[in-house]
Amino acid sequence: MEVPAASDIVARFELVGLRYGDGAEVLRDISLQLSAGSFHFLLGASGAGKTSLLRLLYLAMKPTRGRFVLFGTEIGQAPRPALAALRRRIGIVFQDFRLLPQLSLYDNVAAPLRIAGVGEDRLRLTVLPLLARMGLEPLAQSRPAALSGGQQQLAAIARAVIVRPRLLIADEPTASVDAALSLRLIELFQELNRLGTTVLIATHNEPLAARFPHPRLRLDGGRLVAEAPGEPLLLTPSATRATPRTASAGVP
Amino acid sequence: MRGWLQRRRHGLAPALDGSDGPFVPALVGVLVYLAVIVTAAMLLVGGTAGRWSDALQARFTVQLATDTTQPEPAPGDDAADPETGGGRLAAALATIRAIPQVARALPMAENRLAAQLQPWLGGATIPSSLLPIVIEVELRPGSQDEAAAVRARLLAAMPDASVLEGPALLEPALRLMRGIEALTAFMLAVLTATLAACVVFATRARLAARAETIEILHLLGADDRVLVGLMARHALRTALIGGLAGFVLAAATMAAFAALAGGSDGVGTTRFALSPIGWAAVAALPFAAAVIAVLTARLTAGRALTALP
Repeated sequence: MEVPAASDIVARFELVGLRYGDGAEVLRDISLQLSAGSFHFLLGASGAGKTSLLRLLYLAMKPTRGRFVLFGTEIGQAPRPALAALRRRIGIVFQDFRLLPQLSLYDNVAAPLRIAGVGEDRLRLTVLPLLARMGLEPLAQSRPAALSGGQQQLAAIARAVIVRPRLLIADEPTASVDAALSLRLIELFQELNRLGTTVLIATHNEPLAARFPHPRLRLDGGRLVAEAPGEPLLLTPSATRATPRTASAGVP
Repeated sequence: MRGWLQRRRHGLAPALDGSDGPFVPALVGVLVYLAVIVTAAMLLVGGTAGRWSDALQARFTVQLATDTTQPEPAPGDDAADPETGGGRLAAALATIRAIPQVARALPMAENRLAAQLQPWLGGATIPSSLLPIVIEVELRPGSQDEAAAVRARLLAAMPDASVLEGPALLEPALRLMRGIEALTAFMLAVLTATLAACVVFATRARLAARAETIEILHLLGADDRVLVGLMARHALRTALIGGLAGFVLAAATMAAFAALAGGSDGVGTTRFALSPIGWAAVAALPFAAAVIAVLTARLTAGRALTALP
């Protein structure tokens, strides 16, 4: 198996554990690396730890143990300003959309660009075509509360992809939309992936994931299991056999 | 650069904006109202005390001891002339007037001197030879700081003379005024601390109310400076609205009091009106309050944001 160069690795977990407060670990011995330009589904039952793993990836939390390197930066030792800069490389589609209720749809989608310091003229030229493509342009001045669940989902996705992120993380992005739109959304993520964005989609919709030829990760009780028809995900070749023990023990 | 920042923050600002209701601006308004009144009182008391002190420092009297060994001068005698008062008075006047800081030195007329002694002597008539020789001295404007040196020089030149210092007579009143001035300065400090505390609570309340929004912006990559700037922007607006309203009300209050208190005591020392510089100082208070609010909000928000990863 060919080992990717360090610069090709977007994220790397080494024996990472996570617990909330004094509770039991919700993630245990996670060892995983995501290569640049890869596309993965993250599967697992409710409570398996999918959202917790994504929260680590989009830097909402830090591991309670182990080593996590994102874009070449060791997260446990990175200063705060560096973390903010790393977050700006990530697009996030939250499970519950998390649109800002005080802002219009246009301003919600434009928020990551404004945070990145993009000027208003260029911002307009970027946001409006994307809204048009998502079929949201007529709703540009509407507040999120005036949108349907599906429209809010589309807006959340638009906000995540507007900055052409290096890593796109989507937590149940198809949960609020019908089957046809679900397919369309995954195709949209694939299109972004073809442009070089690394994509990780957490979903409980296994039939939908099965329709695409992308490797699947499975979380079970906070441990990672690989179901990889494609590239290696875990740190050792044996880890691709999809046994939790092998996966967790695979750190060099 | 500034324009870019304004555009960027303007686009995100509504996410953290929203009215706090009238409570916070009203509280800031009341604090600024009190601060303006207290500052005006401090300036008026301090200015008046200073002017009194200067005026009294600039005026004093020199008393020559009565020479009881000399016979009472006859009418027409040179020594009976209140202007020259004989050789001692003439010599004293010459000595005093030779001092550069002295603007004027005149012997006190006998009738004024007798009038000043009348409360102690009743209706008794005192021979003019027994009246002390008193010279009223006034320093040139701007020489108040040299008053002590002038008096020392006089006493050195005329060892038998004594100097009655004006400020000594009003020292208790001046001390009281200085005390009031210090008290108003302390009250201003208390009001400033209260304003800061008010902004701390308002900022914390806003951070709690907007915790979800702040977390989302944080996860989208907004660094602490942007979020702190948004909080400070809101604090600035709230403080300016409340502060300017408080200032307008305080100015109206002062104008009403000035009208009630009337003009001056005739020598311009107790006029109940601020100088242009005084008005500029109190007019700066709403803006000073805004600066305090912004700094406090920045500090509070900055500390609170460290709770986020």
